[in-house]
Order: sequence, then structure tokens, then C-alpha cells
Amino acid sequence: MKMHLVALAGLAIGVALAAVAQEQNAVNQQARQEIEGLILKGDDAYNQNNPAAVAAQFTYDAIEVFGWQSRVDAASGQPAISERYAFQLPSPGELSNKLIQLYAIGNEICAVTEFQHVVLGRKGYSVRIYVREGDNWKIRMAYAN
Amino acid sequence: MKVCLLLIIAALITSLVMPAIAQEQSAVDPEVRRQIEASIMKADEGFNKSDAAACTAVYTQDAVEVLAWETAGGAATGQQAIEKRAAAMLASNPAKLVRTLIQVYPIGDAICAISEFEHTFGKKGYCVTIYVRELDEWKVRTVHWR
Repeated sequence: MKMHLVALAGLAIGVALAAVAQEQNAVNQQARQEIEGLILKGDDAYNQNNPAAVAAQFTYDAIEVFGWQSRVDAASGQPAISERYAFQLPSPGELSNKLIQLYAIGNEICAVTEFQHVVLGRKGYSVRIYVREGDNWKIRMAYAN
Repeated sequence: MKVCLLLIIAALITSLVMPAIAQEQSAVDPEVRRQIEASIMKADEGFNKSDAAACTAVYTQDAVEVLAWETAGGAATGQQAIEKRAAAMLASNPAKLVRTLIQVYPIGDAICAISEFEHTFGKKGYCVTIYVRELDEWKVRTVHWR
């Protein structure tokens, strides 16, 4: 009987430790689904040559930084981001982002994605800071490499 | 009796392996983590001595820094602009800064580091930093303070 209790306690500790390891900076399931939905929507907008829809995912004062060139290429503000995508989108190719990590940072969320651009033939990563604006999550800052 | 022993062993393995798996998804070489921590400490020491040049020496020449609490986006682009802003801030409001690294994640050949910070004037928040390798050290390419 005692052995059973010890075994149960051990199992409980195992499950609890696993949960604690995951809970630090954990993002609730609903927020996760919302961010996943936005990532999908952003990829669709990009793949449908819609720069306004891509830029609509950003806050008005957002910064987007491309880090794959020898020098950082930053677009500051939603209009500049929209303009950049308008310039790039005539032959966008297929872009798909896969969410690989979410961290809660206070009221905001840091999302790390891995992306694949079929036409450019490259893989990369993006780090996005999502903030709450009204009922929506918007990107306040994004870095892609 | 044997079943109990097996259960205990299974429970112990679960308790050891599960947290390890949870952490491994975001694994960074411990040496890299130490280097990032050292870079943070170096920058914070510079800040705490009100030495703008020292606290921004860890930035790349083309770095982008965002202070999310500032108006109009709060972005400064380029190491010189970031240093100038830090100098103005430290001259008008010298403060101490403490940062604790809470998460490090590899993104290709760069590193995404999330830390928690506290200023002595009461501001607390998070900073998300992208580090890139320049020669033999990690430098800040983008940082977002909130």
C-alpha cells in the first residue's frame, strides 16, 4: 500500500515538474490560436499580393526589420511597411510561417516562427512582438533573418 | 512489489525527462548563453555608470532599438543614434538597470534573448533582443524594450 502511495507521489511530481517547466512564460490556448490565425492570415495576404492586408497586421507605429542583408533594413510605421510590401509583392512566391515558440512578456506576446519562402528558396526565422489593440493582436515589432 | 518498483522508476524518469524535453525545444549552447549573459552584464554596467558609449558598445553599427513607451514608435536606428539617445537620457535621468535573462532561443545563426528588466526609477518590463555574431562576440542587432 505504502509503495503504491510512493509510486503515485512520484508520478504526481513528474507531471507537476513537466507542467511547471512549460508554464513559465506560457501563453493561454486562446491567445495561441489567435496568433496562429494571424500568422496564417498574414501568409495568405502575402501570397495573394495584398500589401495593405499584410501591413494591417502591424500597429501604426510598428517597426519591421529584415536582417538577412549585410545591413539591417528597417521599415518604420505601417505606411512604410505597406509600401515595402507593395514594392516587393509583384512576385511574392509562396511564403509559409510555422509557429515554433510563444512567450508571454507581460501583456504582450513574443512569437518565434520559422518560415519557408518557396520562390526565394530560403528558410528563415522571424521574431514578432504582438500587442493588444482593442480586440486584436497587432505586431509592434518584427525581425526576420 | 515489482509493479510498484516499476511505477516508481517510471515516475522518476518522467519527472527528469519531461522538463528536459520542454527545455530542449529552445536549447542554446550553454557557452553561448553565458556569452549573452556577459554581454547583458557589460551593457548594464555601462548604463549604471551613466556611460552611454559603454552601454551601446554591444550594438552593431546598424542596430535598431525600440523604446516602446516612447511616442512615435520610439525607434532609434544605428549605433550612433542609439548612443546619443542613451546619453541624453542618462544625463537627464541617471538610473540603475538590472536585467535578468529568462529565455534564449536560437533563430538560425542569430539568437533571440528575452530578459526582464527593472530601472531604479520604477519602470519594470521585458526586453527582446536579437543578437548576431560579429567577429568573436555577440552584438545586439535589434532590441525592443517594453
